[in-house]
Amino acid sequence: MVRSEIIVSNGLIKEFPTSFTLFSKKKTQKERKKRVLNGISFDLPKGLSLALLGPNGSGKTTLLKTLSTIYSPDGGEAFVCGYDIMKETPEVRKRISFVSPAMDFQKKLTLKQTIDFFVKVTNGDMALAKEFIEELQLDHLWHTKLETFSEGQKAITRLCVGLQKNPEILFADEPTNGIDFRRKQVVLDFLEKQGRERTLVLVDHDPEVVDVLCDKILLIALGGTVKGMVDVAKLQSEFNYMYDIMLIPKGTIKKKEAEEIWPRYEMIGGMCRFFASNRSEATEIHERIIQWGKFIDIKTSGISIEDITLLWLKKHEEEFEEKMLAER
Amino acid sequence: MSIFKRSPTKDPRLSSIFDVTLATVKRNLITDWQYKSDIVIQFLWTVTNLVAYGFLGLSVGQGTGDFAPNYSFSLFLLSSSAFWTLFTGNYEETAFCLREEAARGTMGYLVTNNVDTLGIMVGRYLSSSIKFLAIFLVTTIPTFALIKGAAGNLLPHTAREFFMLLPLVFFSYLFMMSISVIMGSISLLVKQTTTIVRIMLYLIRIVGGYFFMIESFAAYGGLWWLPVVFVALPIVSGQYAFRKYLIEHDTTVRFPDMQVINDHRVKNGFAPLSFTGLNYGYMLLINFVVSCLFLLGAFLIAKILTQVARRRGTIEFY
Repeated sequence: MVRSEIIVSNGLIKEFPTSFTLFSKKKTQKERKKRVLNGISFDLPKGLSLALLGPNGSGKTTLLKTLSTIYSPDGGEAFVCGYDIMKETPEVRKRISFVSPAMDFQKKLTLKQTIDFFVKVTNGDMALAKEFIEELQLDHLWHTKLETFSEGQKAITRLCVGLQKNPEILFADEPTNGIDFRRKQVVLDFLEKQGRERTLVLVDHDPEVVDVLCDKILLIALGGTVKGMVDVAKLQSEFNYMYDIMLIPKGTIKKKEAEEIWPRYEMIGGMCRFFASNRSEATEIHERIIQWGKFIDIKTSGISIEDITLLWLKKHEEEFEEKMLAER
Repeated sequence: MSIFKRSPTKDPRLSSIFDVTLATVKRNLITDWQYKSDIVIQFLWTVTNLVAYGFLGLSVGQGTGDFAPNYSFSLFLLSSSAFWTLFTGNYEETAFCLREEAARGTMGYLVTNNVDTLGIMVGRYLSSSIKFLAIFLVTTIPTFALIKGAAGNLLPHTAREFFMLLPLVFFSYLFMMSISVIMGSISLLVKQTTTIVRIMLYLIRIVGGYFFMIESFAAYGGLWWLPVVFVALPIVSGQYAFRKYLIEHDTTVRFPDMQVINDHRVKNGFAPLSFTGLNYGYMLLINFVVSCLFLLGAFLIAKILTQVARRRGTIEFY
């Protein structure tokens, strides 16, 4: 069945057997399995790219690997590029590529020999691979063995291996991880320039990568369920935050006091978290807290895209619940 | 036009298993050649085996038991060692190749590109075979010639003998390929396969007559039929024919004929039904059929275990 969405997932379930021991007290099939994806449902329209976000162990990578046909699901159904991942696996595989940061190569082979191998086994295009390597100014390493490559150069090689097939969908787990700042910008620019021809499905915690490359965020909760799907554009307009300033007060801080320090805040137990969109706002919040004076400590950190998504979901919780009830 | 502006291929095509196997062979040959120290180590390991078995045989001398060969035990063991030089290394490298792909993290990528695990294993087996054939040629043949006293006494025998031996060794090669593929497929589910792979190797060697003549099985009550069954395995008749070629210069038409089984030491009434009394043509036919069955079984097992590994999530874990 061919659908207009590029990815459709209906109640996708994935279970892994827990380690088997001869004298295990666990008797039933159910007890011997750990459910990692528990009924994942979402649609991704053609032309849009998706980021999978969630805490560690929530099943993001498992979902990525199930959709890219590495794992076969234990329940539900999913369609990728209009093809059933269970019944039409080869058709799906013709149209996708999967890149993982765990992917390493034969260290004794040169870049050319490595790419050549992957081009042959995937029926890819050497010319495309060469173009990519030239664009990223790695062509001087064409005849260099991979044992001398830095992590960033290996990350570019991985991307090249993923893209040389010219896939409709690129599934990638932290694709720019390890790439230096300058090259990362080049990679992001190029991936962005591809327009709407290729869909990206990423697992990445880097807000910059998600901002630039993805249109939607699928937030997965612990236990492998969908917490919500958010438009990156909406998120950016409502929560354009870069810094997170955590205030640990002496005693407690009242809502009114927090509002007076900075209007964008969140109360967490007895503590208060302020959000700043840029460095000058962060400095201003610091100054105001110092002026207020009743604190033990102030901690400042960069805010993750995951945090922002959670804030957005929290704000729109009722709206989501209504939507989910309506869907049921 | 830049890669990033190029539309994804409208009519994508997957690589065939033949392309995958060829690419794997090429990659492995380049890589193996890069690890020259490994080749030297494998060469030394073969020499160590030859020395160990040579001296073991010398210390035993010539056996006097019912099933002892009628030549020195040293020659017997050396011929076993020589024959297995052609199969041991490629068997082990193939059995571990998917585990190595998993350790490198490339399994996931290969699976999502429909690259057949079978193609990777067969590719590894073929490329390793070239390496171990070279090691065989530079170690066992000269050693054997030395032990026998004259190189001229060893090769070429006659062209007829050689070409009669060749298909039997080839079927042994196919048989070991299928066993390698089965063991390699098991590594998709069970990650610590080193001991399993070694147990299988020893079992086949015992059955195949590496350490003693397989006719010895007939010495144990009720097991007279065991050698008859075992000889249906190509590796057994291959080993037997190889030994006859190297040691006995057997030029009879019944090349792999096992006369010992047919004589009075084996159960009465056995001789007329003797499987091994079959002539060369029948032996080839049986070897061919059994090799094909094993290959088919191995390919099916590889397919099934790949599916199971996808379901269990063990396909890319090392």
